[in-house]
Amino acid sequence: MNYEIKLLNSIIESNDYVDAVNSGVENVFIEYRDVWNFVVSHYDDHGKVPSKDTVKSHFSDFEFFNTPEPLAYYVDEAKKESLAFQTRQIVAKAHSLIGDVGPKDALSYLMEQTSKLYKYSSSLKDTDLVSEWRDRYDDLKERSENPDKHTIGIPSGIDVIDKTFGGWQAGDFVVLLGWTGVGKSFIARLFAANAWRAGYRPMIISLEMNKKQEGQRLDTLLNNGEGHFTNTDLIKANPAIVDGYESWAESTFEGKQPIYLITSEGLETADQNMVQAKIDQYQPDMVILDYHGLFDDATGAKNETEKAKNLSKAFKRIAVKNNVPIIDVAAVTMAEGHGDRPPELEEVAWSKQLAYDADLVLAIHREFNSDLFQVVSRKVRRATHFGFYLRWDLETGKWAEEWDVG
Amino acid sequence: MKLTGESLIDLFKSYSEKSSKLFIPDSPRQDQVADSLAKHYDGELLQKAVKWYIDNRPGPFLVFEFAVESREMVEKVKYENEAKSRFQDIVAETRKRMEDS
Repeated sequence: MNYEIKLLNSIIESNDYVDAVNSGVENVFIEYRDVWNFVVSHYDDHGKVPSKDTVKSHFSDFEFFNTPEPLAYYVDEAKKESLAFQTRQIVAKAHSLIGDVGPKDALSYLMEQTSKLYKYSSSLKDTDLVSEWRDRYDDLKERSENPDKHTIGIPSGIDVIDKTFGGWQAGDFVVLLGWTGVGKSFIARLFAANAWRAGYRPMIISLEMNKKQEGQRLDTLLNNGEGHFTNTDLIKANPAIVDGYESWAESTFEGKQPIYLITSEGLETADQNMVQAKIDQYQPDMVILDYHGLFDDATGAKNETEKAKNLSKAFKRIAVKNNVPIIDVAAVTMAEGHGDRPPELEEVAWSKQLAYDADLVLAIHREFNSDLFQVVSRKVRRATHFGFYLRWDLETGKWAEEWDVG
Repeated sequence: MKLTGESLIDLFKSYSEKSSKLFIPDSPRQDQVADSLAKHYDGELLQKAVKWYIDNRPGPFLVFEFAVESREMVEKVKYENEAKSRFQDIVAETRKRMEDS
C-alpha cells in the first residue's frame, strides 16, 4: 500500500493536523498531493481535518484503512519511503544525464538535487524556550564549573573573541574582511589551528593554495614560535631541521583528530553544493572557506555582486542547517587605493546581504611588511563591538594579543 | 600645520618625484590655484589629500586638476582619519572591558 495513503488515513483518523505539519510531512506527498492540499485548505477554513465522508465526496477513489499505530509511526514511514523514492528518481536521472550531457553536468545535477533532498528530509527543530530553561541552567552550571568549557562554542584561541563572542557556535556565519594581501587567510588558519588544538576537527576549503603550501602554513602556525623550524625552513627544505621536524610532527600529530583540507586541485566546480557535499562527507566541527570570491554560485548569478550575495545567503543556510560554524574569508577591493586601516562594512559591494547573514564580521588590516594585525568587529550579532591587535611573526608562527602598540 | 601656495607646489613636486610620476609645471596659473587651495583648506588635510591623490592616480599631475577634485580628496582624507580614530576608540573600550571583567 502506498505510504501517502496510510499517512493521510492516519491524519484524517487522528484529526492531528498540527502534529503532522510540525513533523514536516509537507514534502512527502507526491501522488496524493491533491488530497493533502484539500486537507490543508479544509483545516484553514474550518479549523479541523475533513471527515472521511467529506474526503470521499471530493475524491471518490480514495481508499480508507484502519491505522492502528500512532501518527508519528506513519510520518516516519512516509518520510523514509518518500526519501527512498526521490533518491531513486535522482540517481536514475543522473545516470541518464551521464550519457546525454556528460559526467560533469550529471555530477552537478546530483549534488544540487541531493542537497535539496537533504534539506527537505531534515526535521525542523522547534523548541519551547520556557519549558527548557533547566537545560540552559545545566549547561551554564557545567561550563561555570569547568574552566575548559567557559566558551560556549569552539574556542578561537583569542581571548577577546572567546570572552566577548563566545567562540564559534553551531550555525555561526563569520566573515573575515580585509584588503587584498593583509593576511586574512593566515588569521583563518590560526582559528583552524586553535580549534584543532582544543580537540575539534576543522575543515578548510582552500581555493587559493595547494596542499603543500597549506601544510607548510599550518605547520608554522602549530609550531607557534617554539623554535623547531621557520616557515622559510619548510619552504626551502633546510636539511638542518628535517630530524627536528620529524620528532615535532610525530608528537604533534600522531593519534590526533584530523584537519580536513580541500584544495582546488582536481576540482571542476567549487560552489555551495560542493561545500554541503564536503560537510556531509567529513562532518567537521567547523568550516573555513577561502575565499568567497573564488567560489562559484550554483544558482547562476549574473554578476560578481549578485554572486557574492547568493553565496553569503547559501553559506549562512549551510551553517544553520548543519549546525556547524562557517568562517568565510572575503577580500575587499576598491577602484582606487584604500586607507591604512581595516575596511568598513559599507566598503563591501554586498554589504547589505552581509549584514543580514553574518553573525560576526571581522575586519582585518596590516600595514605593509608589518607584524601587527589590526582586528575589529564590523557586525556582531550577540555582543558589543570589539577591537584588538595581534602581534604575529609569520615566519616563526609566534603570536600574541596586544594592547600597547605605541 | 600651515601651507602656502609655494610650499604646496613643492609638496606636489616632491611627492611626484618620490612616486616616480610626472609633475607638469603650469605657471603662472598653478601659483594662483595653489594659493587659493592653501587659504581654503586646513594644511594637514591638504597635505594628506595631495599625497593620497599622487599615490593613487597614475599621473601626470597638474595642480589645477587636483584643485577641481580637491573637495572629494579632502573628504576622503577626513573619512580615513575618522575611521582610524574609531578603530582606536573601539580597541580602547575593548581593553577596558577586558580589564574590568
